[in-house]
Amino acid sequence: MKPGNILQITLALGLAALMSFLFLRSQLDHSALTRAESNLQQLRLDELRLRRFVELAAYGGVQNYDALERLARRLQTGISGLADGLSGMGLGELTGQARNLEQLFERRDPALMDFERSLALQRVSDLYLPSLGDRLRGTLRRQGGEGPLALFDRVSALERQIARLGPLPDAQSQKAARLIARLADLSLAPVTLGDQLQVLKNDFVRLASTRIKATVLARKQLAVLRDPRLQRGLESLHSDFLQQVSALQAKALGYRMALFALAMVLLLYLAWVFFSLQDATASLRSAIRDLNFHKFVADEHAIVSATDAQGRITYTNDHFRRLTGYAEPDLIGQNHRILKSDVHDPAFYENLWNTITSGQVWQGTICNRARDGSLHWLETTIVPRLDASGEPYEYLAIRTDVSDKVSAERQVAWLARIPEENPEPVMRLDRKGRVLYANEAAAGLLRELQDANQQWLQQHWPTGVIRALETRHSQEMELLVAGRYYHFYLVPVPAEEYVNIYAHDVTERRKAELQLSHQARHDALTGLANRHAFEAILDDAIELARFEGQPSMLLYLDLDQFKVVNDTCGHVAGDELLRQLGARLARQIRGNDEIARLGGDEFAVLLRNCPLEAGMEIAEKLRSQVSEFQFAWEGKSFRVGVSIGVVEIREDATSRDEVMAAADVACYAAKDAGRNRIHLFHLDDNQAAQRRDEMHWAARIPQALVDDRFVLVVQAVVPLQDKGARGHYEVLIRMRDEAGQLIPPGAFIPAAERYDLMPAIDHWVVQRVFEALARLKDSGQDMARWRFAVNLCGPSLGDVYLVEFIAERLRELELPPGQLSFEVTETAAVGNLSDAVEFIQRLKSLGCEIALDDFGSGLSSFAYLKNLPVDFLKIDGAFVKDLLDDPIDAAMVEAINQIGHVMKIRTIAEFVENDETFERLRQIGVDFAQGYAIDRPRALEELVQAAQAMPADGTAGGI
Amino acid sequence: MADSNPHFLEALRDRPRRLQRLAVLIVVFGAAAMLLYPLLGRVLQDPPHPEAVEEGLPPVDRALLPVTTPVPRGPLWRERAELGKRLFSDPMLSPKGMACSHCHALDGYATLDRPRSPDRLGQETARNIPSLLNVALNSRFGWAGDLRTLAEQLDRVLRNPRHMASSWEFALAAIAAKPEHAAAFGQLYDGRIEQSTFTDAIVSFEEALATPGAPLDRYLAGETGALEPDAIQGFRKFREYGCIACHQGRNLGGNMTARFGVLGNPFEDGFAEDPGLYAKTGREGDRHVFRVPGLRNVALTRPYFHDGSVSELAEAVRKMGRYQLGQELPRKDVAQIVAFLEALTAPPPEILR
Repeated sequence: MKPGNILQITLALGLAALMSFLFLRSQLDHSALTRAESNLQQLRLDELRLRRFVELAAYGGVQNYDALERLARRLQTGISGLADGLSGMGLGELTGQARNLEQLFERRDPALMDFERSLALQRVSDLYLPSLGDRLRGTLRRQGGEGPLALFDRVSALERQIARLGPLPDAQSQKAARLIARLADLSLAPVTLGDQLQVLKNDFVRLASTRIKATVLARKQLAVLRDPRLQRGLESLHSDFLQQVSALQAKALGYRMALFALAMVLLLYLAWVFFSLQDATASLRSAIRDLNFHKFVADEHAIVSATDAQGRITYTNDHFRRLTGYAEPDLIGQNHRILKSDVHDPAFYENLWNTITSGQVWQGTICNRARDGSLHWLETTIVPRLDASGEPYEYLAIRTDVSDKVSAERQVAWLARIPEENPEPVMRLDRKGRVLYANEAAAGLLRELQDANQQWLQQHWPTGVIRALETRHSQEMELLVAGRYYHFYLVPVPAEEYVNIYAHDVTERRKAELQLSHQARHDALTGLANRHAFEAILDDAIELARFEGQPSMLLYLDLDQFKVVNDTCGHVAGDELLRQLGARLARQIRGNDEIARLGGDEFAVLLRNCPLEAGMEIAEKLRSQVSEFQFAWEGKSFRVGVSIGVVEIREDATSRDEVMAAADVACYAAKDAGRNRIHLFHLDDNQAAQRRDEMHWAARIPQALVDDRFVLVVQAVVPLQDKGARGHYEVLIRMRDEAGQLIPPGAFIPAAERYDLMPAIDHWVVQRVFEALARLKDSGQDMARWRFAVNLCGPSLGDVYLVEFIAERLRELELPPGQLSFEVTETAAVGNLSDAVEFIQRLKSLGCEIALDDFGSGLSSFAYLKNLPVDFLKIDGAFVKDLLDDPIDAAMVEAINQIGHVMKIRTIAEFVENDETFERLRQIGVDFAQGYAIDRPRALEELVQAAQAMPADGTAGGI
Repeated sequence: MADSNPHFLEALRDRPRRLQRLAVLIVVFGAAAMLLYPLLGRVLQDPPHPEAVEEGLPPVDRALLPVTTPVPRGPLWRERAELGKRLFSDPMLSPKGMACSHCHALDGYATLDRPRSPDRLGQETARNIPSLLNVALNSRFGWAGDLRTLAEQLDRVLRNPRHMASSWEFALAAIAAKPEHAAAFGQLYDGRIEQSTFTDAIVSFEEALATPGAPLDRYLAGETGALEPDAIQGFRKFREYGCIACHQGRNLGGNMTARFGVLGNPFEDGFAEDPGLYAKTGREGDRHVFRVPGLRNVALTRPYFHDGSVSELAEAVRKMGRYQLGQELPRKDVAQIVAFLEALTAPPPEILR
């Protein structure tokens, strides 16, 4: 118990004692007081009456003592009870008086008894004495005589005197004495009487004297009885009593007032307490509401249970039951072990129990098994409640379900192993380049980096990191560390201000790439740079020349008589020759220069930052090296020469193609000049003009396509031998300049070819031809009469889109087979043979026919014809033109015609400009002829319009 | 409640609501005070002053008075008298096994026809057993007349080793041990088994032993024919000889003491010596002084005198004349007085029937 409580209890007890004291003191036993009062009154009255009775009795007025005795008894009981009664009422001061009165009464009571006795005796005498006197006197009278009569008189006198003897005053006691003396005289009277009379006289004397003595005695006793002390005592006791009662009442009133005041104070205090309690109740209610809410919240959040010292469950909250799936009756009294899972080893539980049984709080994460067998990870705090001796008697367990957290942690740990298990370095750097994380591989890498090149890390990585963070884009770096290439991929996480770095060991790939790059850039045969690589080198040189004024020189080397080696000794010999020559040439150039094998027997050398004279010297050196070279193969000895075209690359250099073309031109010039010599390319005025023209055309052709300023013309191709064979129109193209003048194809076709515009032109032509066909068909013409041959350039042969376009249009127009034929130059077909074959077969499958154009003019080889499934051979016009004058040309025409026929290919002769030629060709057996002698080219538009104007069956214009 | 202020006055200052409450408090407090004070005053006020009861002087008693049916003292008086009767005859109140009724037999007029009262062992005591009929009308008790109340008498007899030889503790324990007594006390005295209640029960019983309705009573009440002529003559003689001076009052005695042998000495004439009241007071004047016995039912309460030595009523009358008046009463007078005395016999009290 607390000292405050002891104080409070003491105060309360004291207050209760004080109030009880005040209450008791304020209480007066009013009935007792009243009784005492009336008792006193009665006593006073009784005493008064007793005295009056006594007086009355003394004068003979009382015949029985019943009333007197009753008064006396009442007085006795009243007075004897006075002292105790008064002291019982708290009037102890009066008990002395009362005891005194009691003593007085006790002393007086025997006197009263004696008085009664005396009076009774007196009365007996008074009653019997007359009859005794009568008998005496009668006897005396009967006897007669002087003596007896005298005696008679004396007896009568005595009788009268005795009867008058009342309650005598003191003065009368002498009278009584005299009477007694007279009686004595009477008894001594010398009258001679008879015995009987004597006896009577004696009896009378005895009785009378008894009477007198009794009266005297009564007189004395009366004096005692008249003692006023008892009466006065009673009166003073009464008045004192009243005084004391008043004092008592005054005191009681005082206590009452004090009690009242105290009660009021208490009432006030109680009222205040009441109102305070109301406030406290209100706040308690809200507190309880809050508490309930908090408990609800806590129950929602926490899992609470309690067990006794033996581990039996004594309390569970809702959350607990919800989680475990048990109902309350299943849990209460059960050992907590029912929730045990097999996750923890026995040592875990032993540690737990040791902790809490020793009175300490245990905290940890524990896995419990719910009723349905599911496992829950609970973050648990077990608090033992200790009794007075320090022994735990209850354990409170507060848990939080952290199953999600645990699984999440496991997931995180599992995920965290990913970079750890990654054999490639993974790390995380902050903005300052500090390593926040590095996996094992990265740690090794960092060690390498820091050992080998610490400065690099400090200088470069932060820049890479900062760039990644600021650009918010990943950065890539590659670094050679300890002989290995690493590719670093820097992924910024701007929100977190760090960069994740994923490194990848790219050593193997890099090596492979280098290998590939080398292979791509070098000629496998000679180990020199290949054409592709050389073009890049050349581009750089041109750039340098154009923008930095650093001139270079290009040497274009073409071996002479290399074919001889190849043809006579085979490719292996040719290759060996090339390899040896390549090595030889490479040794002659300076360190800065580049040498490449462009293909076949062509080599190129770039002389960087080289003046013209020095360049020429080097070219001469190279030429002499080649011409001095003696190639031996299988006992044979060969010599080759080389033609070298030299081009200066200066500020006015435009493009690689131009430079290469110039070198080519110069090389041909050298060959033309007799081979094995050097030719320096000079750009003369014509050449310059042509080039400007070409550049001009490069711009004009696309514009003409847009403006639709191309014009199609047709020229008839007619059969020579069989009139029944169907001829056709070759479609030719013309360009109209801005002024409307027609421009011949020789003016723009080379430019179109050079600037790769031919596919676009081809496409345009095909489109227009189909339009014409469509219009012809719409006009109801016999479509068999309108057959066209369209020229296609080399690049168009690989144009799948063009093929599909043709196929689609053919389907739409539903033209019969052979309606459309395409002419392809021998050069174009052979230059891209596989594409050409595929293209030709595709067109043939669509029902088109193919003609091989300008056959005989190029490098044409009859062998190609085996592979090219063409329908026509168009004999080059150069042979036809001089057919009549030159027997060789005639022989060529005949030979071509003959081979074509052997291969079931029809032949067409162009440039037929006169009838003699026409006739000759027919004699030779050529199938078709074309030329000014037969038909001059006309606009397709005119032809179509004419045909549309003609009747459907008209033959005008048709073939 | 963070803003709750435990201090009352501060709370008053802080909140108007508190002021309202204070007003309510004052009103309630004032009303309570106004209501409570008169109640308190009524409860605690001074008792009414007892008025002095003036009572006139009682009329001069006649020498003899009739006895009337005893007036019940209280509502339970009769039941208490019955209880007293049972206690009266219960021998368990005395370790000697002696009940009151052992001597004061209840089967007749409450005296034994023997000269002396016998004790438990049959030994006779020094004095005659007085009848208890009308004993409550006496004002003095015991042969010596030294006892003023019946309670004193009971106390003396109970503790007297020669009589009941008991003690209050014993008697009360015996009462408590007896379920019927305990039940009766529970009913009649709220379970208070103590000297006062025990005494009250006995006294109530003794009060119920009044015997009204004797011929003399009827005569005194105005029924002149109630007394035979001899009895009337006897009454006259009773007066003339002065018997009535001492045998006076309702009980014809019992309210005073007197010396046995005024004009003669009975103790020299065969009566057993007995100092009488002298044994109690030691005053020489009290030698041979005895209580004057009441004469009601005297004809049926033989033997007579303190030692029970006289069994004839006429003989008793003669001896009274001899020793008190010094006269040998004439036979005729004696006979008439006896006739008168026989007219004092009344039916036995209801409680004994």
